[in-house]
Amino acid sequence: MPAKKDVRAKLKLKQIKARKRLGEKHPHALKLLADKGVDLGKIREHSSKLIGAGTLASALLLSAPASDGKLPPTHKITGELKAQWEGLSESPQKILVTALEALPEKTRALTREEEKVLEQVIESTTGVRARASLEGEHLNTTYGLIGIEQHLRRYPGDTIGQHGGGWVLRQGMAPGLGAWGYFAPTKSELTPDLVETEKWYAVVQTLYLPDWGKRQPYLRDWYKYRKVMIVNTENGNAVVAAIADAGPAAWTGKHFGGSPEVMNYLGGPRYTKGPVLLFFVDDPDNKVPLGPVEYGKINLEDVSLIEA
Amino acid sequence: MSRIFYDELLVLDNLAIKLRGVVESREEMEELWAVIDDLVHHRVLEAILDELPREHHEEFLSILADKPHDEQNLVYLSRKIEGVEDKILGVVSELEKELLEELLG
Repeated sequence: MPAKKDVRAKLKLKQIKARKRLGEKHPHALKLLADKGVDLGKIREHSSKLIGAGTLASALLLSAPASDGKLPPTHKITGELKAQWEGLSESPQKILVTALEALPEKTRALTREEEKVLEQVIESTTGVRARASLEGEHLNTTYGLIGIEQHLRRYPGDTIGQHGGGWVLRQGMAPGLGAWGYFAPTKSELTPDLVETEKWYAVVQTLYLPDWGKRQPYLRDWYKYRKVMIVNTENGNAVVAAIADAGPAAWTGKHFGGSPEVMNYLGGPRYTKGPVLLFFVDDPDNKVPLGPVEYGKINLEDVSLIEA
Repeated sequence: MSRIFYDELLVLDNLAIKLRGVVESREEMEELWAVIDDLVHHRVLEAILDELPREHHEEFLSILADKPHDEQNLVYLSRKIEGVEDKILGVVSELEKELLEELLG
């Protein structure tokens, strides 16, 4: 294994060489991009800014092919849901899965209108107030691929053997700490709530937020242990999780991560990657528990469908 | 959103796992993620431009600058480069192999 400093230096050298080679072979390309204000190395930031400015929303609508189209209008979905709900012909989870069939097969940016539809559908079927935007914050994506993560060290000296037993230990412990460090300074200060937080944790790409670097420490604090609702769009299994790490790297082809427990509930012990919706949970009174969303426990009296 | 149109072809999971084992801190890991991301973009764009006929370069680069996320870019390229997805996959796979062997092996 090479020394750690060597890895960094060699990677940087490769980066410089790749830039130089592209510049030498296709100088017009870098010039054209530069003229348009695009630094290839910061193209993700550029992409985020375009979306943030709202300029891509309409482009998405126009460019989406028919097979990859938008969700049906809100009134259509809510109308269908109402009909099924009133007849109680299907379980809430089945109703949700049916509604999610309208999502494009390949994950992509959802429009605000689509997100609003989904907020209603999720709240109507699960009873959880799931929101794509909360207190003005919005993730770069709400429909993406989730991948399995390793356990996080909760306090100095924490070991994998203290994270339960059986299949949940298979992924092992992440070598470093989560983005917010240890959950507690010592084992004795690890509360049951923090145990649950690590058990049901989610990973989101805060590092790619366009304003992440500019709005510190506010954003760091806002995202720490923020509750999110994760819905497996293929089977409707849903989990409420707490954000406890940042990632995954964009070049893994994934957009979110889930603890071994989260992933097991979403798709079973062999589930390591798949499409999900990930929305914030609007829970100012901290009443929504972390963990699996039990559809059977929805209070139907409290659930209403409101047409947008 | 921070997606780039060829993201679904970037599956460098092994690299991500290995990298996590050699970094000292969270900050260093995110810094190296950014370096690798930069490296990927330069290698992929180089491969695309090597294959794309010169007369289409300006058009494609304009589209890339305006809609870097748009999956239609891949459709556009597939009309002009035979097997473009396989070519990108090849570049990415080669890069991962190179980094794993040379840096983290």
